[in-house]
Formats: sequence, structure tokens, C-alpha cells
Amino acid sequence: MKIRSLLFISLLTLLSQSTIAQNGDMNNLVIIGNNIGTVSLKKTTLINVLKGRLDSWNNNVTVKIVLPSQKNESAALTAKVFYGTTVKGMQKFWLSLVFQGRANPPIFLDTDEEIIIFVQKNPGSIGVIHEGVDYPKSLKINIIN
Amino acid sequence: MLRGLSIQIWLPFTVLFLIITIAFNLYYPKKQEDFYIKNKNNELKELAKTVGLGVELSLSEDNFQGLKKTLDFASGRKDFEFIAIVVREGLTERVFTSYPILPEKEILTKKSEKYIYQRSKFSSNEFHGYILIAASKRKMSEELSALNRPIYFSTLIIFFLTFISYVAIARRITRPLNQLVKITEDMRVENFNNFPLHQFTRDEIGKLGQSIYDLQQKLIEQRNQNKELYDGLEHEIKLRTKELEQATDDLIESQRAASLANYTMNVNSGTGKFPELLFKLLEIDQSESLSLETLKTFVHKDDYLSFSSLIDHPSEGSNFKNEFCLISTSGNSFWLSISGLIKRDVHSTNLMISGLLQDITERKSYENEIKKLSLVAQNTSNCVIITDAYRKIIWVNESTLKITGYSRDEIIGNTPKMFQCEKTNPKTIDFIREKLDENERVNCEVLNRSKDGRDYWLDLNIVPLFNESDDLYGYIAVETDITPIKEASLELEEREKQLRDILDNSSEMIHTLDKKGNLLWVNQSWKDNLGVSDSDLHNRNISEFFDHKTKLEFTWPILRRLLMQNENLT
Repeated sequence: MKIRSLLFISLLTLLSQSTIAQNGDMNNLVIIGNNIGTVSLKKTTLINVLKGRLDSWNNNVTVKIVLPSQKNESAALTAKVFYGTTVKGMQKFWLSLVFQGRANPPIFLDTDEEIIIFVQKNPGSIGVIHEGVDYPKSLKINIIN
Repeated sequence: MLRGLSIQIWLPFTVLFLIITIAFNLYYPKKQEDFYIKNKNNELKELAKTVGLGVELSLSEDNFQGLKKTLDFASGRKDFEFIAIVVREGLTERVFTSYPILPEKEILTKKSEKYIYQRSKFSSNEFHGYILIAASKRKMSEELSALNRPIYFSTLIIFFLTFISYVAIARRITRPLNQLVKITEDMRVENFNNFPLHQFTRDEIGKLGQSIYDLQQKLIEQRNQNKELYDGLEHEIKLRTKELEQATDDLIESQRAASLANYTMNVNSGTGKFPELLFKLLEIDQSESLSLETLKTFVHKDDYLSFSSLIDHPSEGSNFKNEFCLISTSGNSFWLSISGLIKRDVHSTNLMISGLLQDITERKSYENEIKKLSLVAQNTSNCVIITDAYRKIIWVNESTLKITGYSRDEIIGNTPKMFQCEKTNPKTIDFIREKLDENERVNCEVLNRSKDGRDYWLDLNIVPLFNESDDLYGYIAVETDITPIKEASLELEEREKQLRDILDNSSEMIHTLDKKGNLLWVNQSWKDNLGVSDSDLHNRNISEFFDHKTKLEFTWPILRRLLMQNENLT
């Protein structure tokens, strides 16, 4: 009984630490979007979008996800924040999703600049860049917890 | 027959082509299927490779677009069943993901008869395994069927087109032959019209048509010749028929005239088919049946046995000719000459006697008469000699043999010249010859010599014999032996000569007169006294040399005495 209680407490501790970490890491990332019908998204909605669960925005524009590739420094953080896994895990996630035909694959770009340019040029696209990179503020999407 | 020829042309080709078509339709789809499956396997393998590369690329380069397109391409295949990523973890395999999502067990079975599987290895830093892709055999079969359907349809159309072509070619070949057959059939019934010579081509059939046309022309010519011949023959037949009818009428008339008729007797049935003549002779009604047994009852008792033998015991295959005497119902006897042949009928069942019968009653009567005359000729004391037209002796009687001293064998075949000798008067012989040459009767006296050298005189009467056609067929000579009379006559003539010599030498006037007083003879004294010569006395009457008174007073008594004397002498 004690062992069970101990394990339960340990698990709760790990979960809480993970949540704290996610929230902490989220601040290092910026979500940008172009013509996605809104300027703010709930975090859960954002996660759903980034996990390919949404095909189009409310303005009927097709969702295009732009993520940092494994060469990008933000990749690991992005994987950790939005997918709760590593970069490889995120790749497997998308591999599985694309393989099953359940979602259009995201665009992986090597640099934040490429991500910004892509988002600027493609309406309906939503990307993740690292905090501190210059980007048009009009692209910023506010995340609401 | 030509319809059969048409079939013979198109049927073998059609059957052959049908066999080829069937073989093609059996062989080609099978090869197509093999090729298709092989191709599909290759495609699947390549697709699996491509997907594997896409996976590797996705994981290494973060580029999922190629994978996406590859998967879209793979899932767009008609025979697509599923595609899966199978990863190996140690010795175990598990399905990482699949499309569509299927139970792992179903994917990993990989032995389903329903699918064709292909796989391709992939490897990345994180995991490695293989891409498993499956295609449905059923869908492939459907696709293959869809693929082969145009081939079946095309071969079917080609077959029917070829069949129609064969039939058309066969009909094209046989059509002119059919025309030729029609023409030859028409020719067989002598219909020589409408020969479509212009329709024949310049090939072998055309040549055949030309030959038949030439043959037709020959036949027309031959037919015309035959018609002429037939007309001539018909005319000849009519002529001959008419002549035959005339000859038949003549024959019937001749038979009637000759009392001749046909008969047939069936020995087995005892019946006969007899002519009207027999019924007439038997004096019975022709409607009455006359059996052979009945006929026998009419036969004279003297001929009954021979007639019965003929009917009761006929000798098959033999000819016969017999004469029978029969008695009619009224008791009149008549003679029949029956000739015929004894033979089997056409069915070889009945023995038949058929031939001719002739009423010879008249001839028999003549024969009896001749027999009597023959007896007379045989028994007369005169010589009777009969010769043929060439004067060869064919018959003599006994008296001739006695008088001539020759035997019958020595005489028959010789001419009467054999009886003549050197004393026979040649003038008499010439006289006889001339008369006979003129077919006239001969009556003369002739001196002949017998075999033993004895001369004898015959008073000869020769009569030429003629048949009904007035043709000479012989001579009959009746000769009377007048040797004693002739010898007496010669002696008398000698005495008369002696007397005349006496009278000639007398001094008295002596003459002889006929009953009318014509001078027959005068002696020399008479001529001297009256001073006349022999020429003056020719055809002179005694009255011319005496006056009437003198004749009465002196001459008449003398004359009367002389006349009386003369009568006594002759």
C-alpha cells in the first residue's frame, strides 16, 4: 500500500513538473500565423491544430503547419512543448499521421526566417519560431491558456 | 452440291480461325495475367521501395511531402488493399502504422490468399523495418478482366468479320459455279437460253464457263443434227411402219389365203391359244374354251397317238412339223400341218408349244390325186419321163426302164439325149429343141436306141410345166412305143414303091387322083401320051385334061377303081 502511494505521489510530481516545464518553455516560442481568421488561439486549440486535427480555419482557409526542422534549434523545444516528445518522437508522430492519411504533413523549415517568410507568403499557415527573432508583429498569434 | 462446296470453302477456314481465336483467348489472357501479376508485383515492390525511401526521407530530412504523394499514389491504386510500416525490435515485429488502419494480426499474417504482398526494407536512426504493401487479388482479377474484355470483344468481332469474309469469298467463288451448274442443268433439259458469258471472269472459272459455252454450242448443233436425224428417222419409221402394217396385212391375208395361223399351247396347264381358223375348221364357236384334251378328241384315230405323244410327251427344245387329220363336229375331215418349237416360257415354269398351223386339206386332196396319177404313170405301158427346167431327168416310170433297158440310177440326172443314136433324125432333134426353147408342146416321132442296142420308135409328147408364176420348172414326156407300127408303115412304103415302079413301066396311062379328082401321080406313059411334064401336072385336076363326055365314058370307071385301090392301100 505504501509502495502504491509512493508511486502515485511520484507520478503526480513528474506530471506537475512537466506542466511547469511546458508552460515555461512556451514562453520561448512564438506562434505566428497568416490569415487564420483569428489573432489568438487557445492553447488546446493550438495543440490540436499543430497535431493536425484541424483541416481548415474558421474562415475556411486550409491549415498549413510550419514547424522547425530537426536542424532548427527550436525543434526540440517545439517537440517538447506541443507534442510532449522529442524531435524524433514528433517525426514519428507526423509519420504515423501522414501515413494514415489523417492529416496533411507540416512544412519543416531549417530556420525561423524561412518559417516567417513561408507564413507571410501562405495564407492559413501557422508556424512556430523562437522568441527573440524579428518577425512582423502582425503575424503573431496570441495564445490564451 | 455447290452450297456444300461453299461450306467446304468457308467452314474449314472458319473452324481453323475459331480454334485459333479460342486458343488465343485462352492463351493470351493467361499470359496477360502472368505478365500483369508480374508487373503488379514489380510495381508493388517499387512502390514499397518508394514508400520506404519516403519514410527514410521524412525522418532524415523532415520532408513528408514526398511520402504523402507516394502514399496518395499507392492508395489510389485500384487493387490497393493496405500499406503498413512494420518495425523490428529485436526478433519481434510490430506494426508501427498502416493505411488504412487494420488490426496488426491481419497485417502481419502476410499469407492471405486474398492478397499479393510486397515489402521493402527501410532504415533510419530511430527505427528500421520494412514497408509492407498488399494488393487485392480480387481487385486485380477484376482489373485484369476489364483489361481483357476489349480483347475478347475485339477477337469476337474479328472472328465474326472473318467468318463473314470467308462466307462472302466462298459465295463469290461458288456463285459463278452455281451459274454454271444452273446452265448445265438447263442444258440437261435442253434449255440453251440466257448463257451469261459476259459475266464470267478471266480466271479458271471463266475458262470453264467458256468451255461449257462451247459445249453448249456443240450441243445445240448436235441437237439440230439430231432433230434432223430424228425427223428423218421418224419419217422413215412411219414409212417402215406403214410398210410393216402393209406387210402384216399382207401376211395376215397370205395366212388367210394359205390357211395359216399362229397358235400357242401350254402343256402344263393343258390350255391353248388357238386361231380363228381352227375354230372355223372344227366348226365350233370361238367363244368356247378349247383345251388340249378337247382338241385331242377331234384328231382322227389314225393320227391320235402321234398327236397325243406330241402334247403328252413334248421334247423340250425340239422343233417339229407334223400333219394331222382332224374331224370336225359335223364329221367333215380336214388336214392340219402343225409346226412349232417346244420350249419353256419366260419364267421357265411352263412348257410351251408355239408355232404355225395350216389347213392343208386342199393340198392333201391334190396329193391324193397326184398319188393316183402317179400310180397311173407308174403302171402305164407308155414311157413317162419328167425333167427339170434344165431337162435333167428327175423321174421315170417302170415302162421307161423296160423300153430303154437302163436302170433308174443310170437315167436320173441325165438328159433324154442319152437315148438317141446316130440314126436319130437330126432334124427331129432340132425340131424338138426349137419347140422346147419356145416353151411349146412337142409331138413327133423319134428313133431311139436302148442300152442293149435295139432301135425303137417313140411317139413323143412333151409338155412344158409351169408354176403359178408361169415360170418353167420342168417337162413331162409321155412316149408311146410305135416300133411295130413304124416297121409296118415302112414295109408298106416299100411295097408302094415297088408297085409304082411297075406302073411307071406300063404302056398304059395310069394316074392316081384324090377324092376331088386332083392328080396325085401319073406314070411315064401318061405323061408321054399327053405330052406334059411333071411341072405341068402340079395342082392340076384330071378334068382339065379330058372333056366331060370322055371323063364320063372312059375315065370315071378307071378313076373309081383307082380310088378304091388307093383306099385299100392306105
